[in-house]
Amino acid sequence: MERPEHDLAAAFSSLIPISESLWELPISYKPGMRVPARIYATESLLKRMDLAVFDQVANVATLPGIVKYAFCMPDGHSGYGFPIGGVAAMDPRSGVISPGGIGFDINCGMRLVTTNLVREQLEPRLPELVEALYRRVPSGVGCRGSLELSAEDFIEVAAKGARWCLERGYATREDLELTEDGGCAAGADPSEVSAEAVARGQDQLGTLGSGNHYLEIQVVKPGHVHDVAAARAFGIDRPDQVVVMFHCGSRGFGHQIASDYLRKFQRVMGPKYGISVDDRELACAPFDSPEGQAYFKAMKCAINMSFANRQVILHRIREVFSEVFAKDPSELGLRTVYDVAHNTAKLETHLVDGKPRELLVHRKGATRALGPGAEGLPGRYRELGQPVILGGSMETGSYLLLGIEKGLQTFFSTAHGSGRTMSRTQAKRLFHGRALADDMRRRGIYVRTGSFAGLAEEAGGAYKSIDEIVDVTARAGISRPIAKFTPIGNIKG
Amino acid sequence: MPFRYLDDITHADVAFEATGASQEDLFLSASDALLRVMIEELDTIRPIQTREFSISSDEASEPARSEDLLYEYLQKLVYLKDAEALLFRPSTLRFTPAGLHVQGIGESIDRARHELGTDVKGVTLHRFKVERLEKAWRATVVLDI
Repeated sequence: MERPEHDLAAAFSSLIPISESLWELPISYKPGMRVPARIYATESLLKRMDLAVFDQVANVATLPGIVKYAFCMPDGHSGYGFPIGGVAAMDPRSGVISPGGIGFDINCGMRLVTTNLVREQLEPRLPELVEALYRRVPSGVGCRGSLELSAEDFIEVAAKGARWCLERGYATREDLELTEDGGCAAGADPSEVSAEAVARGQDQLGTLGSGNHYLEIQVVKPGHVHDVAAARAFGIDRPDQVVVMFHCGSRGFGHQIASDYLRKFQRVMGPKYGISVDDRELACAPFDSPEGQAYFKAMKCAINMSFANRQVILHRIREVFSEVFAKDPSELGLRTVYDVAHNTAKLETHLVDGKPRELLVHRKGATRALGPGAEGLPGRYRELGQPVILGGSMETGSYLLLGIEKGLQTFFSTAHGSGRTMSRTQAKRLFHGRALADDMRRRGIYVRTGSFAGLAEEAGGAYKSIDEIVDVTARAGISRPIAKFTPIGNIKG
Repeated sequence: MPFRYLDDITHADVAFEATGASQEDLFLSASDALLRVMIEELDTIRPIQTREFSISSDEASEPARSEDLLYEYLQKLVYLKDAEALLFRPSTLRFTPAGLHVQGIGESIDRARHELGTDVKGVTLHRFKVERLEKAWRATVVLDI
């Protein structure tokens, strides 16, 4: 439940500054809070967050089994149940799992891919490239992929994730190694997934979707590399280098799984488990219960479908680059830097008060950001830490960040993007899609969309500054910037 | 079929308020509001296919029953869009003891003819509400984009 507007002052007066970039809502803020809530933001960012964020993060702090704090990342904004940018670790024995703490678009995530091309080599072919990518990576309302899968094939995808792509020739071993969890969440069980979810997902493998999902051609401008050695280790090694970044998730499949279990949890939460929550979208079940375990296994199927979805998209990108430049993808240096998940819950072991403890970490609109030496990192990155890919608006730019040791404070979690500042209807009143596309082209960003209304909704002016978000994560010690990327080509669903 | 989009509920997604003189009218307004997010002109959906389906609710009390039915009704439209690439526009509704029977027309998505907007991934329960007013019905719905 949201507080009325006049409580804005009350929310702010309750916030205790912990540092210039961290604020705490004490457990006295709301009845039932088991732990304090912590919000990462400068004072300026805090003032631009919607009021619902404070209430939603406080609601998260009431959930059974929550450990230490309920967190909100600096790109946080209001969501359903958890705020977007919400992070909460639960004790797997006494705590709950909540679809509202993961999000509807399970494993919505980002992939960053290098090329060995530089801007001046690509620019003459940019319109041709973007148009070809637009044709080969389906996007927009009701888009369907080019792979014709039976329900049985799709169920195999849900069980195997990106490994299915490797078996079918849509991935390299290196792609899987450089995908979070190797592109496959162990323990996925398609028998816990409804037939409706399968029917919704079956034709969607290799599709981008709509809303804030996109595929971008970007360049690393001179002066935009913050750590030359680390950037080099990730394959970013020349001025004006071209990279490809894309953002999408588990499409209708993940959404149906989240909706199915939200409804199931609502029915059992109170009568069977005696749990009450302040918001229907926070419906949950004990993790260690038949319903909680069923959702965990079904959610992993959506995690897997999403890894496979991004892998098939990469395969199409390789095909398109190869055709446009008449070279083999390997000659063009089309290599995965990393693939990160945004909307997940995972069992991880972290130090709590100096002792290792297994936790169920919910991250919703937040990215895992493991520090150097962490288990679960690909061997080649283990000394450095985990790459984190932060997508900004289509007009401003995006970042590659790195997880750091001090990230333990958030169970190694950081921001996932820049966060909206205005509604989609407001954006459509302020920006005109066709004019925006023309203007972007004049500014050197070749944009292709199936929906000019959808484009207007995603205007850069509807988002917070990505630089500001990155700065807060660095100041707070939850990740640090490696390089910034500037868009030159964009496909918007 | 009156509906209006609301600015103050969500930044990332789309919220709307629908109204109707009867419960049937309310549901038709709500389905038009949902479809209108995905397609600019509803009248460009041609009656190429006819379709009917029923939905049921175990809820006995109001407004829980109406909310249950409206949620499932709107989710069904999203399902048909994803599973069959079908833009389905309900036209005749009949409330029954078991729930709701829906008839309508539809057409497969045709990118050449349909001016498309933004995809709706699902219906949320965030501030989801059906109200029976003195002389009308009203619903508030937030769609996940």
